[in-house]
This record gives sequence, C-alpha cells and structure tokens, in this order.
Amino acid sequence: MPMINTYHMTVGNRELLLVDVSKSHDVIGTTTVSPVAPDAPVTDVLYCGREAIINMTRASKGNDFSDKLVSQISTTAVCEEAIKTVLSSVSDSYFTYQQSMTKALHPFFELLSEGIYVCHDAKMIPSNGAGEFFWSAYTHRREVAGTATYNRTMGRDSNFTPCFLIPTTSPAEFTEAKVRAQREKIASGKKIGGLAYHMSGMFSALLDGHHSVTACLLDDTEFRCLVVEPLKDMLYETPEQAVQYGREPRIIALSCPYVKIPIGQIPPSMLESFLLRRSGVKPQNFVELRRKAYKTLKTSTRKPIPREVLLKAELLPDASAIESAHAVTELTDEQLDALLAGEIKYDDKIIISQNYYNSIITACNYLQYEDFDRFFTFASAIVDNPDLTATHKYIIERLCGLNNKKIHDFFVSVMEKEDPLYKDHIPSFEAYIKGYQKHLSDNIKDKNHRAQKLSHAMGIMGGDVSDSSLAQMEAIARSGRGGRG
Amino acid sequence: MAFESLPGVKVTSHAAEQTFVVGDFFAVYLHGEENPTIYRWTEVKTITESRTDFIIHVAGVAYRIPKFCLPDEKKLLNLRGILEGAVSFNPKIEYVHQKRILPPKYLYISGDPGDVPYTVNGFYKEREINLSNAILLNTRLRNVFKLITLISILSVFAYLHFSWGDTEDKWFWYLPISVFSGGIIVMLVYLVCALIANFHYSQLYKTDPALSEEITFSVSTAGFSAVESHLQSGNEFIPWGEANYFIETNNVFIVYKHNKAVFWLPKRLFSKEIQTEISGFIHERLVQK
Repeated sequence: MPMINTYHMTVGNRELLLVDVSKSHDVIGTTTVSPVAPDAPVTDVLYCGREAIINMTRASKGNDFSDKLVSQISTTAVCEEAIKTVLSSVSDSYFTYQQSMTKALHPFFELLSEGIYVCHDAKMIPSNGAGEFFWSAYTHRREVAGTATYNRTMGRDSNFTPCFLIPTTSPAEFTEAKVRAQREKIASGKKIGGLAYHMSGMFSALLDGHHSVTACLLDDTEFRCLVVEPLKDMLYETPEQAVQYGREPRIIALSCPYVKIPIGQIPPSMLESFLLRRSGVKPQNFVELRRKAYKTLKTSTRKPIPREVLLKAELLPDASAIESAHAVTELTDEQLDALLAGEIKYDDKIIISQNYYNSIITACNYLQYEDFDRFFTFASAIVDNPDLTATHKYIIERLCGLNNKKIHDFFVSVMEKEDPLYKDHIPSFEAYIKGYQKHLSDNIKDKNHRAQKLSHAMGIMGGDVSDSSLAQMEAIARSGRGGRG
Repeated sequence: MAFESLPGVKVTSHAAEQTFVVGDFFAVYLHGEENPTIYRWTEVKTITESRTDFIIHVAGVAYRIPKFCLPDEKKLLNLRGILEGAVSFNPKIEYVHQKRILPPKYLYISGDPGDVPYTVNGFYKEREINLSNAILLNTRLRNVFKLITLISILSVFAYLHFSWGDTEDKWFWYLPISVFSGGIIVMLVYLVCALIANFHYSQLYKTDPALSEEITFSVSTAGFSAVESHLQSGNEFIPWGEANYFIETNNVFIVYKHNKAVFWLPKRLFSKEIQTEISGFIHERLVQK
C-alpha cells in the first residue's frame, strides 16, 4: 500500500502542501532513459504507466543553464483506464466540488513515483513560452526557451511558478464540443481547472484540463491548475558565505521552482527519506519506456485548433517576460519616464541595468507581463521619441508580434504622419495593418457564419449581427440543448 | 552514476556517536544534532575500504564507517555499491580497496546494455578460481620460470664442477643431475608461488562477502557484468572498450584491463555449445592471449 505523508507549510509568504510518497504504484513520474555519462546528453521522459509521454533532452548532466529540446511523443489517451480516471477526477474534485487539496490529490499521489512533492494552486499560461498555443507546439522536437533547470537572469534562488504548459494529449484529440461544454461551465459560474506536473524550468506537463484551458483562453478567464512539483533540487550557500566558513558551498535548502525550503524546516523524517531515496530508481516498465522514448507523436487525424485560440495565445506573456518580471521588482511611472528620457538611473539608482538597450528590453518584458496598457503606453512613447531611434526596430518588432486594435491604430497614426524617421519601418507597419485587417475580416466571417447557423436553427432571418446579439443567440441555443438534455 | 538505483543506507557508529546516510549524498548526523551535514560526492577526496571499515575523507574530516555496524552482508555490499557508483561518476575521488574477484563497481556505466544473449546466475567456486589462478601464474611467469630453470641448471653444474672436479670425464653424469635439479628447483618455486597466490585468494574468500553471494553474470553486445544478484538492475555494465584482452582456461573466461583480471566467467554455468559461442562472442570484441 502506498504511504503518503502530507504537511501543510508556509515558507515566506508561500503556502504549500508538502507530500512524501513512498511504496507507491510508481505509474507517473520522470526517468532518465539515456546512458548516464559525465558529458553525454541526458534524456528524461515523463511516463504515465507504460507510455512515455514527453521527451526532454539537455546537453549534459551538469548543464543546468541551457534550454532543453522538448517533444511530445505520446498521449495519455492510450494509458490504462484507471490512470485516466484518476487524472480526470483530481481537478474536478478540487475546483468544481471544492474538496481540500490533500483529499483531491490523494488518488494522484498513489500513482506518483516515490519522492517528496510540493503542491500548490497557481495560474498557468497555455503557451510554449514563445507565443504559440501549447497544445500544438511540441509535435516536433525543438529547443524551448525557459526549459533550463535554472534561469541565468532569475538565478537558482528565485521563486516562481512553472506556468508554461506542455500537453499530454495529442492535438488530434481537440474537440470543439468539449471546449463548448467547458465554456458553458464557466458561463454558469462553475470553477474549472487542471492538473499539472512540473517538468523543467518554467514548464509543467498538463495532465488534465486541455479543453478547460482552451475554454479559459477563449473566455479571457484565468486558468488555474493544481501544480505538483517534485522537490529534488538543492539550494547551496553562496560562494561568499562558504568562504566565510572556509569550505565548499553547503546544501541549505531543498528546492523546486515554487519554493526553497530550508533544511531546518523540513520534517526530520521527510529529510531522512529524501537522503535515503535514490534518483536513479527506474520504473517497472523502464525497458519499454526507453524503447518508446524517441518515437514521434502520431497526429494523422489532427483537427486544426481554432485560429482565435492561436491568436489569443500570441498575446500571452512569453518566457523572457516572466524572466524580466522576476528580475525587476517594480517599475514606477517616474522610472519609466527616466528611461524614456534616455536615462539609466533614477534618483541616483540604476533603474534596471547599466546597459540602456538591455534596460528597455527588460522594461518591455516586465510591463507586457504585468500590465498590457502600461506596456503599450511605454512602447508607443519610445516609438514616438525621435531620440530613441536605436530602439525603434526592436520595439516595433515587439508590437508587431501582438494582435491588438490599439497597436493597429497607433501604426495607422504613425503612417499618416509620413515622418521620414519611420521610412525604414513602413513595410512592417503595412504588413501589420494588412494582417490585422485580415484577422478582423476573418473574425467577422466566422461570426456571421456562426450566426447564420444559429439563425437557421432557430428559424430567424439572417443578416449581420453584433457581438452581444450573437452571444445571446448562443446562450439561447445552449439553454435549449440543456433543456432537451 | 552507476548503481544509482541501489537504496540508500543508514548506518550508526555508536562508538563515534555518528549516523551516516549514504545515497545520492553523503550525510552525517552528529550526536545530538537534528539536522545533518550534507556533502555532495564532488566534495569527497578519498574513500578507503579496509578489512574492517569504510573511511570517507571529506572537507578535511575522515569519517569512519565500521563494517560491523551494518546489519548484514547484503547491506554492506549495498553500501559498497553506492560508494563505488559515486566513484564512477566522480573520478577525482581516490578510491583504495582490497583485491577482488568481482569487478569493482566504479568500472561500470549505467545505460542500455543492448542485446544480452548470455546471462546466468551462479556462485564462484574457490577451487576453480584457484586452479585458474595456477594456470595463469604459469602463463604470466613462464619466462621467469624458464630463466630460473636455466640459472638453476648452470648453478648446479658449476657447483658440481667446482666441488667434485674431473668434469671432462664425468660431464655425462653432471649434466642430467643439473637438469634434474633445475627442474626440481623450478617446480618448488612454482609450488611456493601457487601456494602464496592460493592462500591470497582463499583469504579473499573469507574477507569478501560478495563471493558467498549469488552472482548474475551477463555478456551483452555493449559490455559485460558480474554483479551480486540482489544488487543487479540490468542497466549496469562494463563496456568492452574498458577491457584489453581475455584469457580462456579450462574453467573460466578471464577479461583483463591493464593486466588486471576484472571479469571471471565460470564456464561450468553454461553448456559446452554455449561456451563455444561465448568464446566466439568475446573473441569478436577482445584479443585472446
């Protein structure tokens, strides 16, 4: 029988559930499938039962600051029914039926490999950290920014939520009906969420809630997940501290992205089991997993993810924005004004960095993550400033990556000025305006098409419809279906 | 790190009032302290295995783990496996150990052993090791024995010549006596060497608990292994590239690295046909001497 010990803790201002899992069924976890040699690439897989789901490869064992190659290789849909039942029940129990975290996660803990885990509830971002919708972003193996075990900007000791997602079901399993059902739940005031397992750096594997996260994205609602993070890394003394004692840096805390727990705060029995446990213990189906670890995901019956979802994902903060958000604690309007005036200091203190260009990039990342309106105001002010032409190209490229009416209108107004200062950027403005208008017309077409279908179903005469009337019609159609059901 | 799946070992030395936890880290609980001092293996300078203790030198301190503090031989072998696994991944650790029949575990790597056509469980027998050892002694010291024979013959001949004289008339007596004496002397020398070697290996049987355990022997496309069955995971092997040559005797196949025997594979564990196959299989990968 699995043995599960749980402790509720608060470290700093972070609340968490600390869990020690032993004698478990070892059905879900990560394992290293490549030969372990000092300078050889290391491949880890996330497994669910007999299936290797996600492959993550890093350059070598000690290389903690390099991003990893990531690919999805299989789907939990082919796992045993019992595993799927547990995975799908956890988020419902916690978010919909409001069970305690311990109770909701208990059946999941029984499936985990032996170890110590930190569990918490967090807001997640459904992208690959580079503006692509997560569900279709990992079908091919590629390097993903933000997957490094430790981030150079954030360092080893910063606390953050591994908020970017890697799917565990194939994009071919996407169905609009399921998304619609989740949107109905949101509309009816029910809470929905998911279950995520931390993989590496800022990335977690989404074990349940693929349709929920899509629905949340479409409805501009925040998507929350129960995040389970294996507590397996260590935080060391700084070299300066170690020099004081004349020794090599010692381990002072156990670490995962969300929290660093000082050794003294860990229950002694849990610390002892951590020390006795070996990292190289292989799951029962290791040989099969090793064989499956380098396969590619079959997406032959792939249905396209709606364009609206993909476009909304583009607006989500990326990995560098998260990095900057952790590197910068605060940016006041006065500090932003100083940056706009070409200064790197405010009140005799360096605002972000001694490098002006680096300061602008970091400020943009931070603002885009924290507050889009402030980001737009800052970015447009830079573009308007003829003294900051060196940064124009970067800022315009940055704005071009986002689909937004404000940006469209700003580019139109800049073009209308016909200022020779912007002549090199005219092609970018034109391309953006053209793309945005196409996006708008696609949206209108899509809306009219949906309205026509609904009108036909309800026996109403067609014609152009407003957003509100379409929403009303969809609500009526939904309630009608609900009534019949 | 090889043997990274072996469970960690907790052992208390009551005399030193220290408790050690040996696993992915080396942790020391000093008497009365609730929190341990945790060392990484990269911090460890030397590990010495003597007949009675494991001594770990780290951060200027020598921690002594008495073998008798371990509850049984299986735990002892488990601890030795973890320590040697740590050495395999941290070659800067200086590791001193006693003579072995089983390959030291720092020679192993962890990975896919490929096809494993030959794997069997069994025990080493003292007699077959001793017999093979005698044959090996003969092979290794053949030229030395020839030299001893020659020197003995000449010495006896010279002795007869100088003490009895009249060599011109009696050489047909002196020569066979010298040859016979040389043969006797070299046989005595060989016997003494073999006895010393056998004594040495017999002592090894008494001191190395691994030799009383069941061993899993594997020969695969990627490498070979001889590991105590209860420590065996199927993922650890010594790559063929680590070995230099092999010798086949009547009883065993012996694989050498830098002129030291690292792998003894008893032939009796396989049928005659399989023995021939294995010989060919190893021959494809190593030079036979």
